[in-house]
Amino acid sequence: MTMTYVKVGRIDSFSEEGRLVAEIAGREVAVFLLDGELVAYENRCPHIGGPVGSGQLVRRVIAREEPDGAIAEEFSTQRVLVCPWHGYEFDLTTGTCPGDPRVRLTSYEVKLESEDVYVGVPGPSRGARAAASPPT
Amino acid sequence: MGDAALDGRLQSEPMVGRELTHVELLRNVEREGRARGLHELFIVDVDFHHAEPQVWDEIITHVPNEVIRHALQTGNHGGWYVPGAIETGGVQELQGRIQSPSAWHHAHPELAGADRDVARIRDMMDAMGSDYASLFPSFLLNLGLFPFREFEAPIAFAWAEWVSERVLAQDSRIITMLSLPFGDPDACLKLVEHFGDTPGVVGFMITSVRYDPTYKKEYMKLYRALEERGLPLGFHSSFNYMDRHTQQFNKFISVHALGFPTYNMVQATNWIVNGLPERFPDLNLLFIEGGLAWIPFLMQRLDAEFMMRRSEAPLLKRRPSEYMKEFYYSSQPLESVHLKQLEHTFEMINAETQLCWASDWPHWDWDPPHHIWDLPFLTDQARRNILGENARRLFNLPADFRDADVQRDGSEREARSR
Repeated sequence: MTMTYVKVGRIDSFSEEGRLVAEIAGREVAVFLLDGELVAYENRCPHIGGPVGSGQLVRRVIAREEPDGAIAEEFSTQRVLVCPWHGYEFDLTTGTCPGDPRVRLTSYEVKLESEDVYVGVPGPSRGARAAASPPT
Repeated sequence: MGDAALDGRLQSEPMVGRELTHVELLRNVEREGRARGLHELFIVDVDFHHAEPQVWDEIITHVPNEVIRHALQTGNHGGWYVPGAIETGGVQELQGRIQSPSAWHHAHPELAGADRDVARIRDMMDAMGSDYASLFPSFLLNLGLFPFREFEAPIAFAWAEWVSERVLAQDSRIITMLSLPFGDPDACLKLVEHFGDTPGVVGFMITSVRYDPTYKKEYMKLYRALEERGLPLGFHSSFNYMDRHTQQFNKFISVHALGFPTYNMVQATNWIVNGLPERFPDLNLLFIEGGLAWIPFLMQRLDAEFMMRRSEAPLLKRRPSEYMKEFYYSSQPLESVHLKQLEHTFEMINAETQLCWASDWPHWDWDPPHHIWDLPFLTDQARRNILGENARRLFNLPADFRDADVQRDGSEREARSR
């Protein structure tokens, strides 16, 4: 399939949360820079369409069983993206929901050339351009 | 390429991000709605919510009894204070993960009091494409739990007067079902007689979390008054941490998931078993905010037991489920994870004629109108009915709304971009 790579911004234009939301051909795409890696997903929650890419990055809550049988909860080092509409969580490395991996974000190819970040969208160019919204 | 400061925050802070504004959160609702043409439809939101603490100082000026008014004004040094009210801040919002309650709270800081509420409501309605939206309190859903029972009626009257004069009067698109002080049957009747003809008041509502049984003879005059006026009676559910059975829960998910349907089941069961549908056949009921999954469950339970124990419900001429199919239900929170089961539920409750969409905005489990529109098993007519036409019939809303888009304060409102 033909891919068109659309420049969404410079690497130094990411917000302090390490993300950038851009509109490409009528769709919002959220690009994340985490641990030196770039990932991009449609800014639309698969639940019912919330602006998931603008949600909080939260350390995932995990629980372990203590020797006496009690449960102890703690934050893991893994971050999940949480949809601000209803709290659906997504693993940013896979785009899947920890509660049900069948529920997943729509991913986009993303690449870095020099200092510019490009998102790949299917299809020929047709003049596709990106408009970055204020950092969210 | 890595950002050392960000990497440090990601390792240490529980949450990284910023809070979205009210308008930002609603932007996707409008986008999804317009993509489906929903802003061209007649849409009624039968349940969204207010946050009373921000305007508590305004509301309690309407408390008629000066001693109780003084107690409410001074009980928390001028802040929100109702003895026995349940505090849910932060819990409902999953400690900031879900942002709609906080976004509502912070919206339109340039305004104050009821004016601020109306601005927030218009943001919401315009984004969702609602022609009408029915406002309910949030914190006052605990009206039935106040330990000082003499506070219940004055607070109900204060809310009714404040919402009528300060909110409904500003915009003819905003409607409400007023909370009944159900602990005081005489006061209930007085409230209906006083506010029953107020523009924008489309019905009255019992807060489901309470311990006053609906079948008591003292309430019959209330039901008769509502039936005679053609006004529906709502049951708005909620939750309660402090019931004996909920005290063993340690998570909000448990209290919430069971609380809402349970209290509506209590009310529906008492209503049916005591023959009230036969005694008040023209009184329409609307069960609000319990989701829908409880309804088929209760239909099956009551039908099975009624066939064996009919003598305990001698006023009933049909199976309980047949009365329940004539009740109205609000759709939120729609349990759409199991679509096949949901389709069956819609069939069992006659959703095409009895179900009314509700947003519940800005609460954490709110539903946008496209949640209904996207259900694959509905016909277009069923979608239109659920999103607006069923509520139009239930509330007797004017059919010519779009031709008479005039505010209650007399000013023309700018034509909506449809």
